[in-house]
Amino acid sequence: MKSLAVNNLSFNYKGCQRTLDGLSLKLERGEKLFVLGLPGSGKTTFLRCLAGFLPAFVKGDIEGSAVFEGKELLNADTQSSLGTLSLVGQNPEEQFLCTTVSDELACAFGNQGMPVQKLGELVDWGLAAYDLEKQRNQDLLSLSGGQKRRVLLAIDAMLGCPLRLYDSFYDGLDEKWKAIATRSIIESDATCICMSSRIDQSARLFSSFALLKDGKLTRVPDFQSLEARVDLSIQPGLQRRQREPVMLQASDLEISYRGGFDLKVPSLRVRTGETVGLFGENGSGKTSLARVLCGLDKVRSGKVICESRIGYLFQNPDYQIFLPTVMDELCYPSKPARLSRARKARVEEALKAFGLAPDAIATMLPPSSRKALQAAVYYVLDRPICILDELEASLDFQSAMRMLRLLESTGAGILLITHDKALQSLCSRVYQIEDGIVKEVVHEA
Amino acid sequence: MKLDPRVKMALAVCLTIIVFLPLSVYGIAIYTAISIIFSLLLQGLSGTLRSLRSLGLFLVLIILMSPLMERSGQVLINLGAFHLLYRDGLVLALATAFRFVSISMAFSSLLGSSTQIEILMSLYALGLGRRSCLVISLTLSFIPFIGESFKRINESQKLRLGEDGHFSRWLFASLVSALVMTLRSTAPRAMALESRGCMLTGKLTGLVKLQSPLRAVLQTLALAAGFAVSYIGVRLI
Repeated sequence: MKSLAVNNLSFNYKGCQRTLDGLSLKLERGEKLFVLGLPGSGKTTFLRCLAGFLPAFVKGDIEGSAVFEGKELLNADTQSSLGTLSLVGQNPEEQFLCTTVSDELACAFGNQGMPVQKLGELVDWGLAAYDLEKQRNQDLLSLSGGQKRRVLLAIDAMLGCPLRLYDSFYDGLDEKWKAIATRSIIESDATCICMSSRIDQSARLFSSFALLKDGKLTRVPDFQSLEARVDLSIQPGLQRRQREPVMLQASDLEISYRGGFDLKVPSLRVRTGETVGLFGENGSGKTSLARVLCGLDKVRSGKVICESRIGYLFQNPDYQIFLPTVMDELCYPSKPARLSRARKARVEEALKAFGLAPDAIATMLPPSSRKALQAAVYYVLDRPICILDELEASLDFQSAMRMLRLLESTGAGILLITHDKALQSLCSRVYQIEDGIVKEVVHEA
Repeated sequence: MKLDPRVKMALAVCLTIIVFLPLSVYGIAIYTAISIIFSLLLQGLSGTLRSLRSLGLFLVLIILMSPLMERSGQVLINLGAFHLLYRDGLVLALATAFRFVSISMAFSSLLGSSTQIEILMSLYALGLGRRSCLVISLTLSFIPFIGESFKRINESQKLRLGEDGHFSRWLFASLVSALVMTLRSTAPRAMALESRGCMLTGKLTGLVKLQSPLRAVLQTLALAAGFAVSYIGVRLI
């Protein structure tokens, strides 16, 4: 019996071209579908249409139908979908409604009047299943990217809806949690659709696969066929510009974080012209270390030495975009009209290299272009050392690698924080966080 | 000190009302001291200092502007032929500043020592409707979101500009960006509200177990009686 039937679904945002163009899909009850789609292919739009959020919350035109277990989903009252479908969105911070982890987990059930004792038991289960017990009373905004994602996955598992939708499924999760989250989906009875811009080996466990391209969904027979369509080829690095050598050096660092971990960094070095990896599990302190290296946070002991200012690409590009247009953003702090000839040439080079339109409204760009803008800013600033914190979020491998290669071409030393194995292979040296200690490990580039 | 959030709300309301009753500036100062003591007990020294620090700029403005509004009584400071400060002006400035501190400390200790859900459940227990609870819940969750966004954007600007950046430029750009981020997050947040059943009617529950209503009422009555007695005492002094 068909559980979900989507017929000729088309959607366009008001005044824009079609994002979804006659998309059709049929899923059996309990089928788990993994959908691969490049950034901007319409993954989020498709899931939001199914959840009834479009065009209810963002204006646009919708056509077609989507029926789940005999119930029409498109344009449905979202209240009536409660208990039927759940959606884990792309950016966790925009979905949090409470201030602490346990309250967030309880929120949906408290709204339905679940008795306090039962609610407590359910929250305890969610915290234990997603290893969030230590973070029970922690401020949600102080969690690491992966922990925030786990909070949403815990809520989703607790809701236990028969139709579950996941956007940017693997973003922010480390290898261990990618596998656990995938297994938890596979073992459930629910019909699931997981969208991702990157392919991961854990996705092998899914029962069916599809590719989202040009607003249409194409089924592929198996994981291998999907993998074959993904370009994981490594592009050779661009010629690195020779520049004055600069070294970022940290020694005997001890970092404490309000989330409860202590991190020790006996020694860490990044020189201009090299790409160094920093890997570790979710919540192990990668971002905290990056913040210390940039001088944003203080350390308990130890020292960080760098003769130059460091560039730091945050996990969330939205924090680094604050001006109206792409051009304004790249020229900041100067005005576009007042740029020196050399700087103007650099900005134009960045626009071309990162595929950005100068007059585009910066904050309205799709996530992948916002990420590109964030990288382009530091390309123009030409810092000798750059820290890239989970560059791969919202990007496919090729886009992430292109950005990395462009930043490398400035001759800068790059400290790459990533969970993506393919990107990890591009590093010449690697530091790993294990048991709260940062160690240099043997690595094959 | 642990207090039921409903009692803390009553405390904040009592402190707000009492500093507007007919009192001398010394009387208002006493209640300001009481509000600071409550803040110390409820949110500790660091929380109290943080709250006081955030009031600094407004206090300076009050102290500078208020004396100019009241130009009667004994002249205290002359600037050539111009009478700069009158006694009544000074009293008005002090009274306004004390009231401001008192009210701010009362509510900051309520917010600083209670979680969002505690406040929400308390308001619900006091008879507030689900929709009103939702508005308050959203407001309380937006405050840290905007605060965090502002902090991160500010950090990002510092990283980009270093010491070259001008404070006003940082501040303006960070504020605008934080607001843009907040506005952009409105649609996803509305979607999250819908998908978590926040618009449902019926009983609202949460992880918080409030103490028995009778106990809360008794504590509130005792608090109100304490304020009434102290008010008479302060008036007599």
